[in-house]
Amino acid sequence: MQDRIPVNPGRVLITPENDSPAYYATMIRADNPTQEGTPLNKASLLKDTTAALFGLGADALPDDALATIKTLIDAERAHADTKAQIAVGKYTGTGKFGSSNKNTLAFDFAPKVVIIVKQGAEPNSTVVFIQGATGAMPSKSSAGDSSVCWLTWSGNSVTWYATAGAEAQFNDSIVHNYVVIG
Amino acid sequence: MNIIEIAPLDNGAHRNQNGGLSYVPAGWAAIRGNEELENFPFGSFEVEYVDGVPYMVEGSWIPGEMPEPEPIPEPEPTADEIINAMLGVNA
Repeated sequence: MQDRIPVNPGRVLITPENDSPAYYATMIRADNPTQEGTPLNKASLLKDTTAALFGLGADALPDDALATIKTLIDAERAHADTKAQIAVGKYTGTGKFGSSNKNTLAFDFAPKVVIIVKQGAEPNSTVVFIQGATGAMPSKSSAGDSSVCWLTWSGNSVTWYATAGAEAQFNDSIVHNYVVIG
Repeated sequence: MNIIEIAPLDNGAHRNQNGGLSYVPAGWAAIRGNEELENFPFGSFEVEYVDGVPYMVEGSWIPGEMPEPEPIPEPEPTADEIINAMLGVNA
């Protein structure tokens, strides 16, 4: 950005509309301001040092800087979308189990890992669902291999069931806490 | 957001979820506040729509009866158990 550098500051050329000869005059504001205000110039709009912070040259305009900011925001937003997301929550089991009574948890993002812990169970039983896996075994189960939770992943949700009872399905009528990472 | 499925299961329970979701899926309703709901999620409730979003009407929760846990099916016999049974061998 460049400031105007006049040889004759304030000088204007007046051309009367009545065909009289044109003449020069010097214009000075005489509005008696109570406050001078901030002048609109390079120092207040876009210094060279500020332009350099954006990787812009001394000839850059404020609009160039704004466009650069928008580009940086878009890039950062795209980068943020690739970062891990995490959420916590809970549900209370319905006491049902089996393939006709599946559990589903839905999230604001695609889950990669879902960890469910029974609240108050002693010792607390835990199951970990990993995106892409078709089954998961609870950490503590009295039903052996038949307590596998069978998983279905779809977009932002995971659905599962077990055939060995509501407890094995993590759907007994107690609170289940979960952590989801996406 | 605390949400609950509007239609109950055949045992009177409602699927529910609290956390990780910022919208109300179709067929579900949002629950306002942190009111303790007796026998949750076994019960019934009324639904009201605010700006098109279904909510459980506050104070409308009627606790249901909590059923006995459903019987756990006998686990399937393992391959070893089947072979041992066929051979008449006690494990």
